[in-house]
Amino acid sequence: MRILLVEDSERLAGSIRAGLRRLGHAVDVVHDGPRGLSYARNNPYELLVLDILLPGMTGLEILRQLRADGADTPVLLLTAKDTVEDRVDGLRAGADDYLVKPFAFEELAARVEALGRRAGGRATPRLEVSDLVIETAGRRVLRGERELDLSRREYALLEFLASRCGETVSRIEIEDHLYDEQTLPMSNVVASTICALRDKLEADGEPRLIHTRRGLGYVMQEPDA
Amino acid sequence: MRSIRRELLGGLLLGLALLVAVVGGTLRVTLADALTEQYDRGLLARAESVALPLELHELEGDDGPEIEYDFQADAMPSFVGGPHAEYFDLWLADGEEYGRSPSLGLENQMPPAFPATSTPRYRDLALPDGRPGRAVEITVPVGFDDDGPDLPEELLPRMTCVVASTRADLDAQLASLDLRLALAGAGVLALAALVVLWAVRRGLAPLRRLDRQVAAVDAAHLDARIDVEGAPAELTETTTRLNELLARLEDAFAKERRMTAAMAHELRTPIAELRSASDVARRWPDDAELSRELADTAHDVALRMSEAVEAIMHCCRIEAGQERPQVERIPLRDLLDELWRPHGDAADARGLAFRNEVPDDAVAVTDRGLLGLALGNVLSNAASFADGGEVRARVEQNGAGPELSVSNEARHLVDDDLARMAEPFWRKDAARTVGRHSGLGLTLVTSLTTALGCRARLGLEQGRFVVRVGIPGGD
Repeated sequence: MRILLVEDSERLAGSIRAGLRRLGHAVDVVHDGPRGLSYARNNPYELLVLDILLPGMTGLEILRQLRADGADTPVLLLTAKDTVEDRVDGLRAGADDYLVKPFAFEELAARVEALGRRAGGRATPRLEVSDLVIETAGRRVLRGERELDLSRREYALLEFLASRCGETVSRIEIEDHLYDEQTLPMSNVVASTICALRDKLEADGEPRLIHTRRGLGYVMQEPDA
Repeated sequence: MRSIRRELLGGLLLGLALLVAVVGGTLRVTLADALTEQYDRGLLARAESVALPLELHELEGDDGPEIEYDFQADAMPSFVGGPHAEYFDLWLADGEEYGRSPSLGLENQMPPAFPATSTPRYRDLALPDGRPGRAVEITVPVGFDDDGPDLPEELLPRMTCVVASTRADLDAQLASLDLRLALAGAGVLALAALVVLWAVRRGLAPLRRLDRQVAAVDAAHLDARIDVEGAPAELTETTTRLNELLARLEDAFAKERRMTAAMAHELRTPIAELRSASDVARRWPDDAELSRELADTAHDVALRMSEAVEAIMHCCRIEAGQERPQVERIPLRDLLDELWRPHGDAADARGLAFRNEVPDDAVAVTDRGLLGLALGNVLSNAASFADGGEVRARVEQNGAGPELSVSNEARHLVDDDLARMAEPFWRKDAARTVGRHSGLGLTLVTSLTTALGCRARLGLEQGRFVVRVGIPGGD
């Protein structure tokens, strides 16, 4: 999932980014309100994590402007303001969730994943395509009875394709989803990751799940579909 | 415990008791004298009646005149005897007894006190029958009867007549007088006590009201004020002072609450930073690069918290008077250049210049460490929050002496901000625009300069934020 984190504390943002990246998310970080709004408007983020007290423009102002623009990207507010009124204000301004500092990183990660699932129309932390099972909470992938050992990037790509099962996903979309602004993907990195995934998914001769649509991108679908 | 009410009541009642005693005593003496005088007049009349029959008679031959006394027992039966007996005793001028009343019997005498005087003499005595009595003695000239010669008074013989009577009636009257006076005194005292009680209670009512109003003031109701309008004149000053104290307390509590809330808010961010870093590090313990990165983060956070705690401790020590200034001569220009140096690179990157217009010979005579800490915070504040342009330092003269002023562009500040800028953790922008600042810089500046006797003044002049600090020993 590609996430924008707008947090003025560089240290806090740094550790959150490091953690979320290791969970397979692509995370862009900015430290002030105006740049946060600009990034949110100009990039296809799947989740925004906004601090409320930001230099230049508050997280609530960013949120209101995005909602006024018609953006429905899920938003998680992250702040030290913990009164009921603060939470109500945040949720009424269009936030999908609210987390008060200090927080456990695991809770943040769980909320991020829950918001990602909801945005994809899923209620459970489990994706199934034919005999492929992805347990998003534990980041566990099974093909039949066999557990797959995937790299962060392979997992993120597999989860992304499975979440859009049956849809053709372009290479650009995949790059946007997998890479943040600090990572410059090489032109064949998506293709090579797809290859690596296919090798692991079909290691025991199982039917192919990821198909190439020439000139369009990739699609995950059940073997007999 | 001392009680104003008890002391007032005790004092007033004691005073009243003394007053009643003095008035009662005086009244008693006056009335007793009057009663005794009245009694004595009666006794004197009796004595004159007893002495009235005394006459001189010429005897035949050359024996000269002889005193004759014709006692009329029928006219004066009380001198004969009986339960209400009275007594008289007649004495010649040479001290020889002339005659006595039958009631006196043979074995009793009532000798007068010699020498005889023309004025009546009274005395108390025990009557022969044992009753308490009172006697009067008068000395009268004994003249001839109507048929005798009319001699000048000084040539007539003298006879002293002592008359005694019971003083039971007088004593009864005096006892009755004492009883009435005692009852009246007790009544007056009781009535006065009631009036005093009422008056003291009424007089102390404003104190009780004040007590109730003060008791109603607690930490949650420091906005309450004592009613000055209803207070008596004697308490107006006290209630005014109390209200001023309450206002100061309310202000101090509000500051404490703001500081506590601000401190709690400020702590959330470093704690969130530490917790997030430690959570992520524990989640991927085998990732050496991540662990190093997060350890650096934790170290930075710890340093920042340590600086904040140090600043708070500084403020506390200064306020507690534990920071003792070590006075020395400090060239101000050099000190400012030295203090600016750590901020130079960051300021250059922001396009911020430092213009040090302080003359070379400007010297402060004070503690270098404390003054350096104060001015260092002023410059750090300016370097971090200036809206660009230049940070200026100069020496200015005002009525109280030379002042060091440090100013920077601050278009975002308004006059209302000045009152709260020195409060701990106050920030114009609630967001932490500059992560290295603890929010205690100007608080520390105020505390330090106050301790050095050159309290900093904050001002806004033509879009510039100015900190003015008197130069100790700069006259």
